[in-house]
Amino acid sequence: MVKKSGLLKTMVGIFLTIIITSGVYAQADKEYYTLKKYRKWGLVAGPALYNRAEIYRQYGDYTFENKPMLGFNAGFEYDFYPDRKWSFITGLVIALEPVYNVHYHIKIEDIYSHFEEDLIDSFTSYSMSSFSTPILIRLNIQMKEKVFISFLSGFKVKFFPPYEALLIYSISNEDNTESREIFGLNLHSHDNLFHGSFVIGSGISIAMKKVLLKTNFIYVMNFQNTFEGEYQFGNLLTSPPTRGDYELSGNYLGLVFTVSLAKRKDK
Amino acid sequence: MVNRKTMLTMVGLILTVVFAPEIFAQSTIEYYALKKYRKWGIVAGPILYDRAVLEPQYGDYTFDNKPMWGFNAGFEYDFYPDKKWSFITGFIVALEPVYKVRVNIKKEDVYSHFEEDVLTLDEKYYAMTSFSAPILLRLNLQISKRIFVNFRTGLKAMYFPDGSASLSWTFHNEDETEAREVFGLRVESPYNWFQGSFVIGTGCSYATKKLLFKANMIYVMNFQNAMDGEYLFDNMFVSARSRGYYKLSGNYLGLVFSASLAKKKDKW
Repeated sequence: MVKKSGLLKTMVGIFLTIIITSGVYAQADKEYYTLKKYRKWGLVAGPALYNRAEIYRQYGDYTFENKPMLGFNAGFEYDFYPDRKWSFITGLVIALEPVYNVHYHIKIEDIYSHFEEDLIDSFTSYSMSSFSTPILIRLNIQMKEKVFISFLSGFKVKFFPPYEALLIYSISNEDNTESREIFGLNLHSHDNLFHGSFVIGSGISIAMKKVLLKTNFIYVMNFQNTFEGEYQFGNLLTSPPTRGDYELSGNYLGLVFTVSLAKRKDK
Repeated sequence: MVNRKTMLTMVGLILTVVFAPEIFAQSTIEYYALKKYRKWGIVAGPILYDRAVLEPQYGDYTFDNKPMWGFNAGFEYDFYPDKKWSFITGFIVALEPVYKVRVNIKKEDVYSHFEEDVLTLDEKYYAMTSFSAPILLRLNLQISKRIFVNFRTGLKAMYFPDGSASLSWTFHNEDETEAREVFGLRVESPYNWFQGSFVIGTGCSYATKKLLFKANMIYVMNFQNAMDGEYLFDNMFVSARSRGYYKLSGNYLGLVFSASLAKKKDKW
């Protein structure tokens, strides 16, 4: 279900990119005089909210909860035709990549007797930063003299070398003479150094005296999961072991602020 | 091997991100000779996939992998066909390779009734076709009135659902009462349905009265292998078992011909 939904979204996006934009583009090469004074380069920054990881239980009754994770995007972009209705954007963006944000709940009967209540805990981990380059098609529509609405769609390539992460949670008995590893999560990213993704987004631009300020919401769908692995609950006093697979798509919703300076007047 | 691939891809990215916009900023030249052609074009041409690479784990036996032919066909849309700098997208169908192998087995490793010194198996196999959409940055330079040289670079997304394939080679004894499988190859494509790649290429355009004809050489580098798998030589009479991994990058060199018709005269 998850896979089909992702596939559908991506295909709709690609369809939009190739067919609709090309078709609409053919109708107009409009230029906006208001936007002529801004530079093609812009600084980009903003928060990103990564989708929660999915888990697929193989056997056993235990499970845990995965929460969405916050990250950031920062870098620069280059708009080839900032003053035109249709343009193309590329750039270089750095992002903080999530690994896991897990919340689990172990019942009191499965842990040593000196614990007085259920064991509830959470852990969050980020990996190294990734570097990515988008190639986006951008449509700008003027709403007021200084306000524009934009729509973005395209691809992104991300440089993200293979990475491994391990989370192990152990508990000890009251006098610390014995310990049990009760939860483990073993994750890895893919062998390939580059990852592809599909980008779609929309936002608003405000043309001010010295800067062009753009605010866009983007959704990034990776062609492959950022992290995959497996989890295990074991060595529990009462419950049998539980094992399953973990998949983090790395897809995210981003709020991207962009600032492009006005050119000097003599230019 | 990975380092070389990384190097090539990073060089391409640098070209795409840094170099191209800088040059672009210098001029927005328009070519009058190209104004009369449509933005849509039909694309077709042969491609040559890189040979697969083996990573032996143990044993002395191995086999040869050959480069494989394929094709590209579809259409492209050039956003500014008459400008020095433009962007191209489109839709391409390609025939995807799986393996093209030559396996040699020595006489002493099979039943004694085989008379050849070396027994050879030649097999090739293609998967289903893939569908892909590129977004490319294109630079056009005028060489003569009707001839242009172009350079292109960008990204491509390919729709290629996961699948698997296998090949085995079995020998029978003379009276066919016994059989031994001496070679097996099992490969599978990645789990994800979409795969990304980096595209770089160059070529020339020739503007005729009714047609703009382009011929480009492109090289496509996938971000992940198109096929991964393993091979096994086993059940041989003398030689020990051999095992290893099979990796087909799916990278290819393509010769891409495209043709765009001239618009009707009342349209320009």
